Amino acid sequence: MHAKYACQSREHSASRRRFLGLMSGGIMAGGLGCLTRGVAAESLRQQDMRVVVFNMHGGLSQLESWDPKPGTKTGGPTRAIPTSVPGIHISELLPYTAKQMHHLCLLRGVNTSEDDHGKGMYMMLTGRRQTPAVDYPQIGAVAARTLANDSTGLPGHILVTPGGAGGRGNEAAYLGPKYSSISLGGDKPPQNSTKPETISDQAESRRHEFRRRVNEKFLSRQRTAITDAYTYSYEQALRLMERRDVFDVAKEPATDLERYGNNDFGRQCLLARRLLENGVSFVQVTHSNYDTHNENFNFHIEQLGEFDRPFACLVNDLSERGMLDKTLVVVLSEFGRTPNINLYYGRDHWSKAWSVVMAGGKVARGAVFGQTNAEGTEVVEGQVDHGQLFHTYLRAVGVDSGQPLVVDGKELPMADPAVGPIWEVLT
Amino acid sequence: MGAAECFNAVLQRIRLGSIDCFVVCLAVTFSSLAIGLKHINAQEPATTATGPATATSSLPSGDHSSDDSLANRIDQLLASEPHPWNAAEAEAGQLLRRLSLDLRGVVPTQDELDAFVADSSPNRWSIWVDRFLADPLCDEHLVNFLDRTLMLRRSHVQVDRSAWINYLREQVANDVPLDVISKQLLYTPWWNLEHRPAQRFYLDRGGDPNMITRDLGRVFLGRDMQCAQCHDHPLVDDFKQMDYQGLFAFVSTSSLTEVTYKDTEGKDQKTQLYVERAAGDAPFESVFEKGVLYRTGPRFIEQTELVEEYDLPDARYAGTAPEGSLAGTVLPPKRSRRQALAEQLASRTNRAFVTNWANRLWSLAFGQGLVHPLDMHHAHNPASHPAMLSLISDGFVESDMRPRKFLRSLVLSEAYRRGTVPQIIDGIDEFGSDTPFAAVGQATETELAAALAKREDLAAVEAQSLSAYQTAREAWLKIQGERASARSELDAAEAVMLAAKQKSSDATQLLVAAQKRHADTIARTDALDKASANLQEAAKIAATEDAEFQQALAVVQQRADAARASLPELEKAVADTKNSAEALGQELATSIANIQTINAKLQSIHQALLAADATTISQRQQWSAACQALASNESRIRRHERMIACLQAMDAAQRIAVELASQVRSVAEIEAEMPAAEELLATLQSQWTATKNAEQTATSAVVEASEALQRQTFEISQLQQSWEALDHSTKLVSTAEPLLAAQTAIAQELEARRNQLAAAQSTADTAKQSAEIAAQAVAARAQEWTLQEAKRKSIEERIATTRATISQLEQSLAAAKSLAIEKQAAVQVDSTRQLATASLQPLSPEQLCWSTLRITGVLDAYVRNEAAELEKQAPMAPDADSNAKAARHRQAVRAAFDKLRGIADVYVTLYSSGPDNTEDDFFASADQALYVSNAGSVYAWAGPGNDNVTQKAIAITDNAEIARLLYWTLLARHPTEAETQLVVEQLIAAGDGRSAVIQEMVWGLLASAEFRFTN
Repeated sequence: MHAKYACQSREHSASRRRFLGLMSGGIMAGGLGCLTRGVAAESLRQQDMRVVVFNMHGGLSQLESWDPKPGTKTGGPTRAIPTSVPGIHISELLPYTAKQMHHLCLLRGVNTSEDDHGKGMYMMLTGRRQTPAVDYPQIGAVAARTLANDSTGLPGHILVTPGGAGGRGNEAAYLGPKYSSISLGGDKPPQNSTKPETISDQAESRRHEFRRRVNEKFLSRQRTAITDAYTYSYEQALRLMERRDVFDVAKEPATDLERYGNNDFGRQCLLARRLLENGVSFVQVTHSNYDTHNENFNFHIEQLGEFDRPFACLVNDLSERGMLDKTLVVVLSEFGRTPNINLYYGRDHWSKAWSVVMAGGKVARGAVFGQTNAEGTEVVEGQVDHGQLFHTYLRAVGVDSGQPLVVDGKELPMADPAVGPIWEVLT
Repeated sequence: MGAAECFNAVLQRIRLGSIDCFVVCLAVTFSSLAIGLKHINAQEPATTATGPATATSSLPSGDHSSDDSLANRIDQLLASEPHPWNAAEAEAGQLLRRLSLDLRGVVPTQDELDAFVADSSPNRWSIWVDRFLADPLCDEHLVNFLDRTLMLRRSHVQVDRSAWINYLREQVANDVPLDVISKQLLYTPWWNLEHRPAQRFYLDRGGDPNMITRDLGRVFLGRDMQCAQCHDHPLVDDFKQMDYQGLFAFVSTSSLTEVTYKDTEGKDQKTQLYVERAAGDAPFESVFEKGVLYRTGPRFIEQTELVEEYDLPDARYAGTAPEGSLAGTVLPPKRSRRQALAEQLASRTNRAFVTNWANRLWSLAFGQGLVHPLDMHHAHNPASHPAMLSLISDGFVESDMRPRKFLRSLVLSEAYRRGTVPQIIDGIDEFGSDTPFAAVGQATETELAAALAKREDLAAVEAQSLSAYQTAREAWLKIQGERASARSELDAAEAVMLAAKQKSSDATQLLVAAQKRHADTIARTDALDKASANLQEAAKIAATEDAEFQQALAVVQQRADAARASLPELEKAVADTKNSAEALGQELATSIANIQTINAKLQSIHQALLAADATTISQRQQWSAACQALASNESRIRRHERMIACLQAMDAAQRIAVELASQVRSVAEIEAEMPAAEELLATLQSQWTATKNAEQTATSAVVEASEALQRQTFEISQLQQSWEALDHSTKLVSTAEPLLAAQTAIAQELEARRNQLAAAQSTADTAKQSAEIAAQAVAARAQEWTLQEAKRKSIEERIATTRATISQLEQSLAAAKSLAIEKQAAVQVDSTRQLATASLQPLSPEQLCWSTLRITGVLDAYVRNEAAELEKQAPMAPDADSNAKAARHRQAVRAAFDKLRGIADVYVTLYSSGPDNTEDDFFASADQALYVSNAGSVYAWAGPGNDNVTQKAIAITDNAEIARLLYWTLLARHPTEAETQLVVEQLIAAGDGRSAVIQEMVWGLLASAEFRFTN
């Protein structure tokens, strides 16, 4: 009656047991120490791997960006230009990005079969289809859980949104709120990160010192992993307050701001660079809005005109500063846009054949994977879906996406166990 | 498969029991708790061995021997299997804090703490339990418990928050049994707005049948069956897709439907009703077995399918709308599966339901469930204490399923009042005592051996019962297959019948139309004939031959003839349609007969299925029991192994400690020898120095004598030379008289000198001799000194060696201690699960919020304000009785909670696991700390005001007294000396800024780890 499913394979169960062994060791040590994690996780953390995701909200047109089809029925007026990699052409709307092509990897065979904004975005960020009963953690939460280093004092999962500073998001699902995002609007620091004005510097250090000493006495009697975690959270908070400057993009040189284009999106990209440099493990920058049912071409000229330079600057800077090997860059949307041009010169929702871009980490450089047919209506080679992409993001930063995550003693798959990473784009 | 392999396979399954595979299916399997537990009891005789240090805790007489039968039975059960790690009763302050948090969701006030400690009544504990249970805060706490448990912190979409909270408040205030509440939640008439709040369970899950199925399992049955939606659980044998689908069948035909109705003012309003339609079970397949279709009617886990009477597809809805239906709603089905769900799921005879609630309330009091996680009841995750789970499940029914009454029993038990530190390790920080860990260990070893001895048998029983279960299930599945195909046939027949019915009704309509046309034509003919006769009559009377008149008559007659002529055709049409209608009626009757035939066949398959199902269930229960017995035994083995490891570690630490102490003693002894040795050495040294001086004198005398000797010898040789020279000269010179005289003088001088030389020689010899003697004395002294120095050195070395040993031992002791403490932590987890000790638990987000607000006086101030407001609106009669006063107080508390709920929401956002989680897993994050530190509110609340602790402390001048007040109020314990000192230091350093420093200290205590937890 036992079904022999893939997850019961000998290899899988062996590695799982190994993992369990690690965990139980951790738990034993955790009795007194801090929240111990597996050795593997620890060494991963030391490598300081990071992820930055560009969320092209509304659905970026692949035909106006990564997979142009000039001169065809579906191509529209958009022309293709050569890039820094001979033979690879992208849209003329991305001239700066084209010069960074040698860092990028274009995946032109994405097929997600979901044309709804909400559902598509859910799939792209969680690597799974939405189900009514179970919620899955987003890539940012998984990255924070597997990559974030608590000792930086900074949140591991940050959203940079045009909206404005908010509190904690709800993207972590069963991983728990610890890994939910902190959202930053523009260059505002996280909530409550300055002491109340009514408290003097002296009083501030005094009250925290008293709190520490009260804890010392308690912890000498009843100390467990959870009491440690609790007292540690206050120290983390203080560290975050000390490092508030990290969220202040104005601390970056004016010349850089100029280079990134002195506009909102440029500032957000620069902030992303600053956060990554300071050890934040996951940053998501949203660029809105690409839902171009009308006037697709004009809108893309405008939107990509804003996107191109700061994005190219960021990729270039990460590379020049030696961070690209440790930083995965992803440009994704909820879906692409129809090859068919509608009556309003628009393109509609289209998930059958579109593109996602990756760079950095263990991702192949200057590469194209997957291909659509001449008019871009179908994937003819290298078809991938959201689940495979999700695995690939994690693999690209050295996380074994086939391993389970242990949450409260329960093992939960990190990514959809039905699929695996796209090995072809990983080095 | 040999026994060992078989055993390993079983272990493997157990290990994998909590592993999930495909979705986030939390591994949940079904089990018969009732039968399973009996089985386990039979398998596990009560433990008998207890160590010398395991005396049962002694409780103050005032709090002893409760009058509560369930509480006593809980304690008796634990006493029958005493755990070597029992803790004594917790300290009074800690105990009251625990009770207050568990029953009222807030910490006690300083006044309450003082009064409790001062209370000397013989039944103090039960008095305070009852006092807290009657407090309106207890109502709010239970409302919060129900809200969290039932709705998993989901947002309010269809049902307004205050309506929902007030609905729960009424249930709690009226002490409504949990089965009654559950029934209401699961079924109330849905066709109007009367029961809206109770329908929130469905409505705010968007009516989604899968979400509702999952939560029916999680909330009411303690089983998260999510992973069996699409396939049998791949790893846990007792978790089947059929179980999920059986539960799903109760709600699969219900959904949210928008209805427009007129409100009291006659305006159009829209609302969503959770409408139920007539049942129709859709076939399902496993994603792993594509193409094999299964069917199930509504069924509960471990119960056979619900037998429903069969209604023809056209007779499944009520004929008329029930009274009070909203206009625009559809008719309800004749048989409501939701009603059946409510009645049978929320039944006191449904053991899973009863156990689930008993376990949840147990968890509310004890911090964790006997089965934990709370929605993981399955064979591979047996209760930590199966007999206890069984006992409290019975006890909960005896308590009429009333939460307050049941909680009262739980907290009256001694088990509830245990402290956190096991007596065996209480106060042995230094391991210097002679606690007989090894002796306790021996008893534990005996138990371990017993458990190990049972292992293979239990595994064999499990394997056997598994195979019997599998066989039974195969047989059942086979009939399932027959049923599925019969059901498909029935579906087809029903479709045929509905089509036939449609055709028949169409034909009947045609017949009626034809008949009408026929009848109409006859009537027309008659009327025309009559008109023609009348016209003729009229013509006769008028006697006219008017052409127009004639023409009219002709027309009338013509029309009458035409109508008459059409009659045969119409008659034929009537006959034709009649035949057709009759034929179709026959067809309908045939289709109905066909349905009945198939149904009859289906019914007989059903009977066989039910029988096979009953067998399968019973086999499953036996297997589940065997599985639980095995798992319990395994956990017993691991527990004992951990305990032995811990005792060994403690024993090792203790042995090192003893050895260390002896080494410390011996180093002291050796060190005591040192002064005497050193003194002797000093004496020898000075003697040696004296002889050395003498030797030096002698040596210099020798030198002097030998120098004199040399000098004289030289002078003699000079004289000799002179004499010889003269002698030579005299021989050459004849007249050498004067020379001869000189020579003689020299010879004489020489002679004299020679004599002196002999004396000098003898002096030198003497000096040499005494120098030699002196040298010997020095050598002797030197030897003495060297010997003594060697002695001293050896003492020094012994000290050094012993010190090195001590330092080694200290290191080993530190290592052994930390190992022992680590092992203790593991055993303490077990001992908490075994109810021997209490454990540290984080406060829930709500407990943290309301406790903070209460300590800082904010909550009580709000209650006072609300009471004043109520008094203003409706002054109490001066002679109002205590009931009226209590009701007024309750009203004020409710209003205060409503006003402050926004703050609780902030805490929930920060500290809870968020929506859709059964429990709040503890986590600590920087944003929580940032809120407490910087949002300003907590710091502001900690300021003086509302007669709070800060205000009281500011009024006190004695610094130590302030320390006592702060620790007592905020942490429900007295400060240690060092803690008092800490507070006093702060106050002294504060100088004029005492108020500010007291506020900071109150804040610091609110932000401390100790405040965040309870034990």
